Formats: sequence, structure tokens, C-alpha cells
Amino acid sequence: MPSKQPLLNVENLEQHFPIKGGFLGRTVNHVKAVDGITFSIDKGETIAVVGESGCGKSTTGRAILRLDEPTGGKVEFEGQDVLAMSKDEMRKMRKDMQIIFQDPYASLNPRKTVRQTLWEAMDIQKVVPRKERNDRIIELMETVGLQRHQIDRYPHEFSGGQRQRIGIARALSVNPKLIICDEAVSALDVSIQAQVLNLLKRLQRDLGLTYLFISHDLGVVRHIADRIIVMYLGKIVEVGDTDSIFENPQHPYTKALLSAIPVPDPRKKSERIFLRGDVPSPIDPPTGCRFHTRCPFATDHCRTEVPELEQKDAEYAGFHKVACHYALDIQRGKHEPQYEMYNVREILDDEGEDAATDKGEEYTKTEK
Amino acid sequence: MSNIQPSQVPVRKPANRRLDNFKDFYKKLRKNKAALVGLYVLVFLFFVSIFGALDANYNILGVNSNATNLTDKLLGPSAQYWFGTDHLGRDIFYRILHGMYITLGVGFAATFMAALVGVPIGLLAGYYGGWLDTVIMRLMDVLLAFPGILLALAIVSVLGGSTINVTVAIAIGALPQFARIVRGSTLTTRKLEYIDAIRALGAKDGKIIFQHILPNIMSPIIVNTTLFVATAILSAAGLSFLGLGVQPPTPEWGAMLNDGRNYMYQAAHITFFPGMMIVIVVLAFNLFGDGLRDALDPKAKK
Repeated sequence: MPSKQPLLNVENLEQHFPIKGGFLGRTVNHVKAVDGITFSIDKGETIAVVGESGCGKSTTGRAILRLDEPTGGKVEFEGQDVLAMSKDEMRKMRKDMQIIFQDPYASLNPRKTVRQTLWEAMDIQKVVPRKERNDRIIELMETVGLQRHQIDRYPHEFSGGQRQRIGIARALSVNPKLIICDEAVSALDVSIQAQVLNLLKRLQRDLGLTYLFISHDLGVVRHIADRIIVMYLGKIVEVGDTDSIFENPQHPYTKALLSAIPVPDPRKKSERIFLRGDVPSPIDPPTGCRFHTRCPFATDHCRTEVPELEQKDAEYAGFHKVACHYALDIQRGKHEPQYEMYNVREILDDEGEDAATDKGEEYTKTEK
Repeated sequence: MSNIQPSQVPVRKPANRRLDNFKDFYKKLRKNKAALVGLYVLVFLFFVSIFGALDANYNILGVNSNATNLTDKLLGPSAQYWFGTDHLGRDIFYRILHGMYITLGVGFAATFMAALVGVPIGLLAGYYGGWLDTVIMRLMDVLLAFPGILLALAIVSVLGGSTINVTVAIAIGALPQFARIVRGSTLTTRKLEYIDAIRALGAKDGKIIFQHILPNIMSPIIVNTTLFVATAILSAAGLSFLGLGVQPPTPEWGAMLNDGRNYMYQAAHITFFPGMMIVIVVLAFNLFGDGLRDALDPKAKK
């Protein structure tokens, strides 16, 4: 069990990117990539951030590390205000927070060997005395499952999975406490994904690491996360313990997301919720609840008032917060969808076993 | 089940990477015959120019290339005077041989100076962006607004004509070109994840710029440098032709062209041979530069 001591505390984090244009490159508008999110991570736990592409998952990770300077809010790491730090203080701080990137082909300098890459990382943070560095590099390589004789190879001589391991080794080389995994396994194929995930889990157990795991792959998230944050258009719509989110999703968006996970059982009849339309532009997000444009349950109330993120289900003992006015009413069947939202598999089955899901989408569209 | 032995594969000592890279590069260059010819011509001319540079008193292979001999003036090419003689009876062949180092020297020096200043400027503008980028690039735009040769002309008229002034003038004209190319490459490289990774490790900006960005944008810099030497040589010859560059009696090729201008009808060879040499050198640089671009292009990698 992770001890309940917050390692990272994020409050009202905001990342608005200016859009330059017009005469003399004035700032015309802002892309509100992350718009006031609050959460905390306890030591030793894995917290996953999920959501569609463009919802601000990666931006959140980058903002915490100050790879992009956040425009507002507060980030506290072990009680220290990260955003208030000077450049020099920040450099020292970076030892404790590392990041693993999505694309193993872009995240390694093509002109540096594994040894050089890891050596440099240790050199910047002065974590290991010079004499011991070579031993430490070999130890790290073995930790992440690379062979000792590959030490002087260049990135292009490795496969994608091996490169990702080098990326992990680089992040580990400075003995961090928190690692942000930005889609760390989504570029890998499934068998390698499993290997890397298990590696991450093992490292967490052995080294007491804390992960902020950014992903769009719910299967992966279920496997690795203790808690899940569901983001939509720069806001948190639901946050809770992994089991609670998967067993009892309360926000209509989370329900739609979860219903999109393929079930490896052809006989199982599952409900599939199709969302209409696209994600609205983060430049000019919808008023009230940001999801109301696509939510089948939306009412006028949703269009005007922003729902608070709060614990709704009083009977549930664990941690589960949701930002929806009607979360409980929907659950109790008191609040009906404003239009037909379920597209039940059974309907498909009438047309034949192999009716594809995208055909189902057409079905809802014609019914509109 | 037998015990699995630890891998006995000998650890291949990493051979000299630079050498490997060079071999790889040469292999690719060899496919481009024109570029190879360009390279050989340049290497040959380079060695020849060393002879010319050895003696400041215009002696080359025992012949004083500046010695006038008015009885032999305006002679056509012959066994004695391979490229003929000019209006003062000087042997054009030896003058060309001697002038080689000036031509190549000015070309290389101007390019080197431009790169030395332009590359850091481009790196700074591209890496930091913001107002620094705006200020630097608008300044470069001002320089770019003048045609290169006009700018060089203006600078030389102010500073006075001499080899060094010509070199400086051409270098200043080339500055925006280098700054722009380096800035562009820096912008794309800066966005890559390995730069973010090294920033996340807490590296200082200087380290990121010079150890991570610069080595990864060397290819466009090298290609641009090679191609620019040709332009610099042309500009230098042009300035000398107009009498604003290297002053006579130094056997600069552009100045020699100018010498022959008045005798075009009687003795065309006086202008022909220096002109031909300029064409050959510039062509060689361009061919080699183009080949270099293809060979260094990462997209062409197998």
C-alpha cells in the first residue's frame, strides 16, 4: 500500500498557449490546453491520466516539469513550490522528476552512444562519482534489460523497445522520485508493451518510484494505475481509484470511453456509447460543463453552470470524484438521456454476427 | 537441460566512428561522378595554390610571375607561354598559378568568417526565439535586402580596396544566409524529444546548444559552406574586376580579367584563361557541394 504522503501536489494548473496573429504578431487568443486542474500524487503510487488526444494530458506532464512554462497555478513537489524556483534551483530539482517520452525514435540523440547518453545524464546532476559511473551505467543497462556489450552502440542500432529501455535507463540514471511516463508504451507493439510495463512495475517495487502515467490506452492504464484521472478538454471530469472508475464510472464521458474498450468475447453483449461530433476547440471551450455539446444527458443547467469536481457517491468508501451535475441521478435512473444514446450490440447482431462497429455508428447517425 | 552459458560473443571494440562515418559518406559520394570530379579538381587546385602562396615575391617554379617583358607582350598561347602573355608581357599561366591562392584564400576566409559569426547568431535566434529572434532576424533581413554584390561594393568603397576588406565585405553579405539556415535547422531540432529529455535532466543552455543541437545540424551547415565558397570566389573576382578588390599587380583572377578587357579583339586569351579558371573553380565547388548535399541528406539513408 502506498503511504499517504503527497509527493506532488498540483493546484489549478493552467497552460494557455498564445495564438499570435494580426498586425505585429499580437496575441489574438489562447489555446486553453490545460485549464485549471487540481490533483495530488502520493509517494509510491501510480496515477494515470487518460483522455482523447488533445485533451491536455501531455501538456500537463510538460507543465509540471516546466518544459513549457505553465501560465498559472501551483505545482508543489515535496512541499516546495516548483514554479517559483529560479533556473538554478530548478536544475537541481530536476534530479527528482524525470520523464519518459512517447517516441523512442525521437527521444534519443542519434549522435550519442548509450554510454555517452547515460554518462551525460549523471554528469549533469553529479549523482555518481566519475570512477563509479561506468559500473553504474552497466548496472542500469542490466536493470532495464539491455546487454552489457551494447554499451557503445548508437540509438539506430537498437529496436524501438530497446530504445525505450534506454530512455527509461536515462530517466533512472539520476535516481528520481517521480517519473512522468508520457505515452511511454503507446509507440510499442503489444508484446513489448507488456515487457516495458512489467519493467516499470518492477522498478516501482524495487526503487519506490512514483509514476504519473499519461496514456490513452485504457487497458494499459487498468494494468498499471492505482488511481485514474480522466481529462476532457483541459479539465478533469472524473478522478478515482482504478477499480472504482472501471466498475462504476459516473461521468457520461468516462462511460463512453470505457465502453470503447474492445471486449475479447464475441458472445458478450456490451453496450457501446457513441459520442456525437468532435472535441470542441480548446480556443473557445463550451460554457458550463465542457462536455455538454456531446453529452446525451445535457440540459440547460449543464450549458450554464460549471460542475464542481466532488465526491458524489457517499456510500462508496474509496476515492472517487466526478464533475457532473447529474452523476447520481443518472446512476439511479432518475435522469434520462435527452436523446437515444445507447447503441446496443443486440441490434447489430440482428444484422449478422460480423456487423462491424463502424456500421453501428452509421446506424446512430441515420437515426438522428 | 543444459546450463545456459553467458554470451561468449566477443565485445566488438567500437571502431573509430568518425572513420566509419567517413567511409560511409565517401561511398555515397562516389556514386555521384560529377561531385567526385569536383572534389578531385578542388584537391588538385588546393595543392597547386600552396605553391603560389609560398613566395610573396611572385616567384613560382623559378619564374617570376610578375616580371614584365614588353618585347613579348600580347603573345598568344605557345610552347613557351602556355596561356600566352598579357599587355605587359607577363606569363599568364604563371600568374594564374600564383593567383590561385588568393582566389581560394579569399573564398575560404570569407566563408569561414561568415560561418563563424552566422552560425552562433542563428543558433541563438532559433533556440531562444522571442524578442531575441525577432531582433536578430530583422537585422539579417536588412542585410538581405541588399543584393550581395552591391553590399560588398558599398562596404569596400567605404573601407578601401584590399584583400582583407574584400573578404570582410563578402563575409558580411553572407551572414544572413548562414544565420537563416542555422536558425531554421535549430527550430526543428529544438522541438525534438531528446532535447526536451536533456532539458528535463537539467542541462544548461550552452550545453544543449553546442553539444546537442549543433552536432545534429552540421549537415546543412557543411553543405551551405561548400556552396558558398563558390559564390564568395565569384564576388571577390567581380570586385577585383571593378577595381575595388585586390589591387594590381597582385595576380588576382578578376583583376586579370579587367587587364585583358581593353585587348579583347587583339588578344582574347588574356581574358579567356582567367575567366576559364574562375568557371572551373566555381563549377567544381558547386558540383562537390551538390554531391555533398545528397550524401549528407539523412532522408537518403538506406
